[in-house]
Amino acid sequence: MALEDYKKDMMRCVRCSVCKFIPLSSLIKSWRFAYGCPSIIQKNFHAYSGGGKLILALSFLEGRIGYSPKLLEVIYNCSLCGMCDLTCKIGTDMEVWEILHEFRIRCFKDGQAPLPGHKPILDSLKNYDNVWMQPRGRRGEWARGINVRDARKERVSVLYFAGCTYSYEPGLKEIARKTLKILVENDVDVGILGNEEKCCSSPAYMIGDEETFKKFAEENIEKFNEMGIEILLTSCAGCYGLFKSKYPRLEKKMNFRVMHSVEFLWSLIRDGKIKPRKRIDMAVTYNDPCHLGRLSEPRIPSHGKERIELNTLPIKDIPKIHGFNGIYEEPREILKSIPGIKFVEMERRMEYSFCCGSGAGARSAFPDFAQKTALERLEEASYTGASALITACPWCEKNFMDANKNNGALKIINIVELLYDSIK
Amino acid sequence: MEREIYRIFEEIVGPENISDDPVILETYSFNWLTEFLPRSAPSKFMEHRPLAVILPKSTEEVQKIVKVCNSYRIKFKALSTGYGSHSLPGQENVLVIDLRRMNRIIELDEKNKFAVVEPYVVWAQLQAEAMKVGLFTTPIQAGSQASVLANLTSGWGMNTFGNHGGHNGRNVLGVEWVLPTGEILKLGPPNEWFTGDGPGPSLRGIMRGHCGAQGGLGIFTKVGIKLHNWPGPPVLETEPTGLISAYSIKNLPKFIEVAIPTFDTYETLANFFYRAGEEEIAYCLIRAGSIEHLVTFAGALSNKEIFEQWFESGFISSAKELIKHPCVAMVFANTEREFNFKKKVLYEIIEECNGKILPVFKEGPLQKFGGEEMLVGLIGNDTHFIHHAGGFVISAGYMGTADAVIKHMGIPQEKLKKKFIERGKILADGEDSTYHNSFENNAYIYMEMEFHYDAADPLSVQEVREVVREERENLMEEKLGFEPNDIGLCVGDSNMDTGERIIEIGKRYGNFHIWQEKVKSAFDPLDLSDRSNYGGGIYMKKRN
Repeated sequence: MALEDYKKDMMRCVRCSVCKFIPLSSLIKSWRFAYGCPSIIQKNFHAYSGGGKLILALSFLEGRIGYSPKLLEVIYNCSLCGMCDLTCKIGTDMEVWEILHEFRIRCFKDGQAPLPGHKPILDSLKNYDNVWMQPRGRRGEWARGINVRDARKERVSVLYFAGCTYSYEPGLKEIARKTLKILVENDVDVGILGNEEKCCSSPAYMIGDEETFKKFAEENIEKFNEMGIEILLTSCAGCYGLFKSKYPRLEKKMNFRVMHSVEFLWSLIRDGKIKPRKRIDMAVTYNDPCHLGRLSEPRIPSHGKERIELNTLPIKDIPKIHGFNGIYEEPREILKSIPGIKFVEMERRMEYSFCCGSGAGARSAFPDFAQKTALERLEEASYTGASALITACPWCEKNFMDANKNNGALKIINIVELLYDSIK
Repeated sequence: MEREIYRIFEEIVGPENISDDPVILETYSFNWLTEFLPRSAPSKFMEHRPLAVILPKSTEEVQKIVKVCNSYRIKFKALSTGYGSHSLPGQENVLVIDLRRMNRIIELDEKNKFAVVEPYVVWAQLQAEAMKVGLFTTPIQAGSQASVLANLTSGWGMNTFGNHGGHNGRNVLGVEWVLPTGEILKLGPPNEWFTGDGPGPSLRGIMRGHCGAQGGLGIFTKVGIKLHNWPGPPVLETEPTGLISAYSIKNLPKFIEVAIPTFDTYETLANFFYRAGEEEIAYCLIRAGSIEHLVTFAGALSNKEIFEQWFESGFISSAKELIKHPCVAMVFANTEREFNFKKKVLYEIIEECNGKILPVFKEGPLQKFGGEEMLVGLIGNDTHFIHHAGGFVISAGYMGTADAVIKHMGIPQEKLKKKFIERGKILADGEDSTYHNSFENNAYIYMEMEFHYDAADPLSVQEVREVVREERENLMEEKLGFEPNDIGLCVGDSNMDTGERIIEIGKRYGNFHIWQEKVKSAFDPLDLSDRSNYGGGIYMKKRN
């Protein structure tokens, strides 16, 4: 893999600016929420758009520009949310997301990354196997008191993978606990790894540290395969997106299916195993996390391989992924199944949902960018008239909570909490 | 840029809204068609980076910037959405004024059917708001992500709904204009936007003429746009199941019909355009060339699908004889009665002109080209897929009657394109890749010949230079009225700039470039508003 592989795609960019908006053919619904790219909304110079970064990548490869603080700031002032990739792909076969990601890998290889804001994450991964500088020995504490099987000792069909944030973050541990309680109480053959669970390595992958990603991902795949699990289940959209979409790039056989808890919980509701009964009178809207949505389908990059037909039509023999097949219906079905819930959609939704601003190291290196992006999304949620914004991702939730501190009219609620309250 | 001057600009817009960092400037040195500009060595980048890029938020800030430019003799070039090499300065030491932060819809007057917008309001935003009050726009074919104001004031004016809504040179109403000297000129009555004329003689001809001054006459900061009737619902809901541009409409309006008739000859096709115009029935009346061309730009969501589904399958080779000259006619009505009438007339004149609605368009693989698919394609207007081969250019646009465009441009250009397809470096999407767009019930038609090439293949780029040069020479030989500031003018011999090409053409068309030069001198005595795509361009300046 190399940035050079995609030079032709860079040259084929026409600077049309489609990458700055939500897909035109989804039919933009208003002046206010027409934009799709968080970076260009805030920074305005063309460099910050998807197309702008393609131009910079080409310029870099041609030796017209070199590394500078500004170049790194532009490359990383982005949550790699994939909106530019989606919108461009509706009309072309260009692999915009791959170029943005490869540019980060190149920065790492050339010793220009990690940025100061990313270094603690990588140090923490190296020293503690998690991103929060927390001891390994406390990773399994979140599940204390729940009578769940120890997947280290006995074979289970479902492995619940809590992820770093749900394992350690005091305000969010309860989400993992409630999810697990629902599973255990409904006789799901589920277990956990306790202190042996290790980071999925999504943060390392997203900031361009291929080596760390590979180490963690290979170890995880081997472990999951050895355990003989059928389903790898997680409540974290970041973990889910990486397991589902990026682990397959290692070309290691994965003998298990990856599921997000909203898929699993909806299947329990659909099959009549659990029934939300308690009425919750509330108007809610739902934020589709990027990694549960448009970035969750397995994407196998072309690495620039193509053949030409009809004289000049470049054809890449890879499945073209638009992001249409992310996990969109299940969370909505869960919400609609809860008595009293009035569900309203935001304008930017499903595969063209607007990012929370937290992902791909943006929150760590550029907290101001992350907060402003979250505020933009919170404003959109407020426009719907909903009193709560529902999430299914700890990163989105944390970022929204922080951004919402000063004008907290809108509640931020995890979908599992709402469901748990309704079935209890 | 000198620090002292930089600081003056910084005070106007704030430090976060100006930059002369090479990383920022580099992205204003690359654009669609920049590979065709004259230069010493082939590149996608222009030869010169701008001096700096500045992002004003208001007309007042634009005016202050222009006045500083006058004080220090700094050349400037404004851009809004900035799609195409004509959006960038063609010379050294130019300040780029990126109007991206000026993005408000100032007014939407439902009763009088007009809107007032700033430069970075794009068609998709305006039409979303207009549809809510039963009105609609006339979006440029560059796509609905492009600026409304730029199309109305500064470049071209063709659009997909022109048959119903007219050319955008005629949809422009009041204009707020920061002249190259820094004065503000308002076209139309003070504080009103419903017309661009008066009091006194109209300046709209000078302001934009037929093709716009492309940034050569100052900066437009607000524009009034005429809006048109929208017979559909306030919001169209979509889902990602579409063929043409990924999405289809869930709540398709009741009174809409899209027909794709095909005709055996150009003459009968032209007759159909005339008759459809006479009967005033079509909301949209366009043509996208032969069947190969139609499917290669709209037939699938990936190049692989385009090739396998339509070409490798043998569909094209078997359909070519049958589907000779297809076009798209859309009827869109307010009431059932109006709808039934228009629909009846549509099918009667198709028959009268010996057109056919082939079964393949009704229930075969092409049936999706009708109905909601076509509507979402036209409203979404996501036309960046025309670059699916890696590059796209039109040779020369031509406006005239249906007969004239076909006689002078259609048939001769087919021969030319055939020759170049056989040479193997432009997309083999059929010899007839002409796009026709009817205006004002077929009062006239705009037609352009499209060439798809690969911007990443130097031989393909060179071939496009050749085909466009040859086509332009043919057209000039016949003294045909093609667009003087057309996209095709950006393309051609690598040692000839746009200005030289304009002069070449001007000599054959009443010396329009000399008149443009006179206007330029009167409005911009210090020659500060980048002239690369207006009058004689920078070539004229060098020559003088």
